[in-house]
Amino acid sequence: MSSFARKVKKIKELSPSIQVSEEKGCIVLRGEADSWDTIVKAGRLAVDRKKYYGVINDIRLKGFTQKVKLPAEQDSLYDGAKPDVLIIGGGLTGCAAARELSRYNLDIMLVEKGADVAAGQSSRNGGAVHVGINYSPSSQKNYYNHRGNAMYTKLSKELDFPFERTGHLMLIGAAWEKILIQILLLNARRLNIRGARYLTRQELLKVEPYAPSWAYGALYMPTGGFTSPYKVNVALAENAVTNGVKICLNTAVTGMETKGGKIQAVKTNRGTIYPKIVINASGVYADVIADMAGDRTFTIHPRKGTDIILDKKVGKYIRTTEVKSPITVLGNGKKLHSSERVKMIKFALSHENTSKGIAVIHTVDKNMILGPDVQEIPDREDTTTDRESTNRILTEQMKVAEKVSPADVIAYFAGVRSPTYEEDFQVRKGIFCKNILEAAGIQSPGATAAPAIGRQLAIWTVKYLRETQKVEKNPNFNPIRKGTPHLSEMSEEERNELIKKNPDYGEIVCRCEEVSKGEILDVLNSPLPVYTLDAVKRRCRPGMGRCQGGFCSPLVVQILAEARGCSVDEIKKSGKNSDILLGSTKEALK
Amino acid sequence: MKEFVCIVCPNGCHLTADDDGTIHNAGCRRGVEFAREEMTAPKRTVCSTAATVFADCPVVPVRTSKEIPKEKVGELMQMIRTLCVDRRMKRGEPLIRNLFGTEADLIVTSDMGYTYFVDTEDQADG
Amino acid sequence: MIYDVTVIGGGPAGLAAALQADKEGAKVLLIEREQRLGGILKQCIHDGFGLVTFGERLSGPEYCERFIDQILDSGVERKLLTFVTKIVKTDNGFLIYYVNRSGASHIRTKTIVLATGCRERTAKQVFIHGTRPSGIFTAGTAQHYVNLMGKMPARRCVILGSGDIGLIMARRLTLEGAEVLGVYEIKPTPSGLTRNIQQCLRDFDIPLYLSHTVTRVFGDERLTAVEVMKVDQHMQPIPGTEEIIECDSLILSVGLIPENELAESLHVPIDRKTKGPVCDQQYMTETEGVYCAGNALHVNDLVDYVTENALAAGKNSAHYEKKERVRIPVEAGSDISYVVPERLDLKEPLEHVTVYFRAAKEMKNVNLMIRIGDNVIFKKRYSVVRPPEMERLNIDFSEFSLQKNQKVEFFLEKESSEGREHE
Repeated sequence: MSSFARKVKKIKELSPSIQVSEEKGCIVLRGEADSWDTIVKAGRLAVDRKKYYGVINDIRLKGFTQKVKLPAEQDSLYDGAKPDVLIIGGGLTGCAAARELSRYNLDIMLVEKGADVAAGQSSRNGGAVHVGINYSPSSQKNYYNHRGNAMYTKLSKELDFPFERTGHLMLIGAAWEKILIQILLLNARRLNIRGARYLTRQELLKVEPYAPSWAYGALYMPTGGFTSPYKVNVALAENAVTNGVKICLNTAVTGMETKGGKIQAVKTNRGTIYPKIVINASGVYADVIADMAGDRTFTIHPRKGTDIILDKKVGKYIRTTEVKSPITVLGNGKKLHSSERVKMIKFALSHENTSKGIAVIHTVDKNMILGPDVQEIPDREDTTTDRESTNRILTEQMKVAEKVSPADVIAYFAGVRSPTYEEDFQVRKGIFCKNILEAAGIQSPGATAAPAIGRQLAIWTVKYLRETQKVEKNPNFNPIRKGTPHLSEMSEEERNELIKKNPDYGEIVCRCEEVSKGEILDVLNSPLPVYTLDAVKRRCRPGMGRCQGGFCSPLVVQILAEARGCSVDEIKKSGKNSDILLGSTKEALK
Repeated sequence: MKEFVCIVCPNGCHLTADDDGTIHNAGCRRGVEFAREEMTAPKRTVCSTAATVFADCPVVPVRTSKEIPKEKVGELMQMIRTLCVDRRMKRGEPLIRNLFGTEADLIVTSDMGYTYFVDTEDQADG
Repeated sequence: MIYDVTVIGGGPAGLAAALQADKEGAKVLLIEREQRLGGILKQCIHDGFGLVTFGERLSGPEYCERFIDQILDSGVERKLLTFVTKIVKTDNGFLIYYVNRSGASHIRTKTIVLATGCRERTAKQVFIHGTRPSGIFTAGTAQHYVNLMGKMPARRCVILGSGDIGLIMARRLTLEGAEVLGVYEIKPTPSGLTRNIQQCLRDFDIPLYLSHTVTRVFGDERLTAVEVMKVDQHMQPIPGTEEIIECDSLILSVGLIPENELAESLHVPIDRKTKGPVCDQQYMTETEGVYCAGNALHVNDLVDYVTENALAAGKNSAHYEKKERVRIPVEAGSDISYVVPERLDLKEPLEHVTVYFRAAKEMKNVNLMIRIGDNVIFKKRYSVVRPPEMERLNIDFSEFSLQKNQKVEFFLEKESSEGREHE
């Protein structure tokens, strides 16, 4: 029996109505199924990394159609634009590519369907800068994570975003679990990951004084760190804009015209754009965009994760990023049989272990984040949270963060990851389309890898364009982007000096996060100003704290209106229809 | 028998009135009066805001100086809607006098002087 | 230069504390982070304030402005639009660091009165799930928009929680022409005062649904609907009772939490129940020279009580002297959720101690008992006690010759039929 026949048999066992075929180097699944679980399982069974480009899983879920959230804007603002490069997606990957490309004298356009950059998973993740100790050496994840991780130190200095290399910890609960650590340490050597070592409990407590009581020891990986992915994204975008990139928000790609294996035109809700080359960095829609160009060889299956943010009061209980090892079983006291142990270790190291485990993460703002969990869902834009997930994460993670209680929760959010069935990145040149570059399947460790992916995409783009035109370096490229100051972190003298120059720095608007009016105005004077409550909140934190904007949101709305020169009624939370105020009092009585 | 919750003070007594008008469970004399009125001609204090021409205080709080008949509340709200305060008023100043012939006035309840009042910077320094 | 008393917070508590400390002859500084004094009362335009203090039913602005008038005529120094960033304890007092439009600086003070008020619990703290649209406001934020800015945050709204601010906003929004579809309360009894249920809901035919809560919100941009569910006696939603209500806004009145981040930074012990600092009958916290007043101490239902306690805190802070203290605990026993003060300092006067307490549940015909060791020293009958309604007592503890290893316990006891015969 051929390997294809064996796959067909297994998939048919799952659901006889699924049709399996081999087309254009891909394995293609079609049909209809009752449960999303079946569809995901079928997709996983179809994977053969050696034989196929990838899995195209077109099995429909009965009763489900993807509702695409499109911007409310409908105009011709960008109609007829002819950029050299069109980047689709203003997440970390797209913005990293934009910034790298801005080193050259090119006409670069980036379209983003959200009301701000980082609208998808780039803002909806915990912020760990990963070590990548468990990746296979041949994987793209390993390639880009390793390089991206190494780029972070310099990048954080150039772009002035917070980043700390505090190290990551994987905790074990018993002596026998050291086997897993030994295996990972061997892999670390193969992957050239420096400094990883085993810590005894005593050594662990020096790194992480509040490590849980059950921790027997830990794998310490000093190259791990944390950042604010959202701030990295904004920094990349702002620096790209400074260096000439045009970023178009609220702009969604709705179709493409192709001819002879080349994209001729890209349609958006704000007009048709005629780029020479397209970079597909569209996250959860990467396969849909690739399909428009006839270049689809993969399928994105949405994987939701929920994170919980805890009050700064408990932030001190974590300095690094801690995860419980995937083989540590807590609380049942039962001794595991050696065969069970082997099974667990095998699973922990396999591709089927799609999560790095729910982590306890220290954030740049000194809060603590718990999460994320893993949920396979059909809807690519379902960022709703639910009680079950938050309860599960809390119960599970309070075992790692023992000092935490549910009363410390100040917020929670969900993001949708965009894995392929191959569980690897798909960063490549177009196969069936000459002028597209794919950056698909970018999920964890996407935030770590993005700078390296962006660099690779830029190199390919320039090479492609040089076939037909001269591409010179941008003589005015400035790698330095200055972030807005954080006065609450400054000494009294420094702060005083700044306030003397600009009294707005002395007027505190957000009491929980100690954000001044001056800092908010700075954000609005940045290269990429976004006049929404959410954008300001994410950039400089008013409303991020324990009162969640209860006190400051009316003040921020007024500052936004004043800065934009409009009525407070015009200020939105995020998108065009997310009104905050519905007119004036007295009006309703008319 | 009729039941009322007294709104005169925060105690919120649960009053009952017999058919002959006898009031029970009132914690004080004002409660008895309240229940009597509530049965014959209920009254309420109305609090709202009136629009102004001043950007630093787009609205100013107002209230009736005394209670007015409950059925007039909607009408009063309509009257308030048409107001536009164009000078800095003092707390207690009437905006409309003798509402519905009840001798109740609509008064401003905040001294609009405060709305632009900021102490001179750091008078306490040095 | 060193201040005798620095009051942090210029709301009703801070105003009263500063005024009283000034009257007692202290050199007083009042620090307020907003541009205007008055705190939350600025936006509480409804009437009902001041029945105890002035014998009148004033609006919030009228109430606080009566104090502001006096402050302006007093010796109290003021720093407005000034934010305290840090407090550091020194040998003879405290350094208070602050920022304002003139710069970042600090002052010295012998004592501090924390009058920082409280904040509202948020949607996340009551675990509302779903999307993250606009149109979800705490009642206080909605009140700010309506009463200070003249703007409507809602046209068709659901209110979660029957706290007083939520009830007051139900009436306010209705008067301004919005449609309030209902007030949903997770508990089997209302959280707000009974009279507010009457004058804010019943007067306007707004339904109140007890043992119900909002579990989910819908809408990608602006809120489009909420899901409400019935809850069981453990306040857990009952599957199958889901109901979707179309609305453009959700207003939350689900509780207030004293703001004590400054107190915590000074390591002032916090009472887990009140969420305010543990204090003695002088309203001094467990940290020498740090006093606390108003809603920062515990959430009051009436501003008049805030004023009363703040006047006392202001007076005591003006006469502060470092000395040996003998503090004994005052504990909340059965069916009492909390008692303030939590300590009695036997070295300070015990004659006129004002005690505030809340019942843990609604009870009828109960006796409040105070016990020292095995001896019940005080007993008072209440025909009804309800958690939303704070009770206040004046007790003379001097007659009980309290000793340093004793404790005072407050508890409620259902009146026995036997007890009734004796009456």
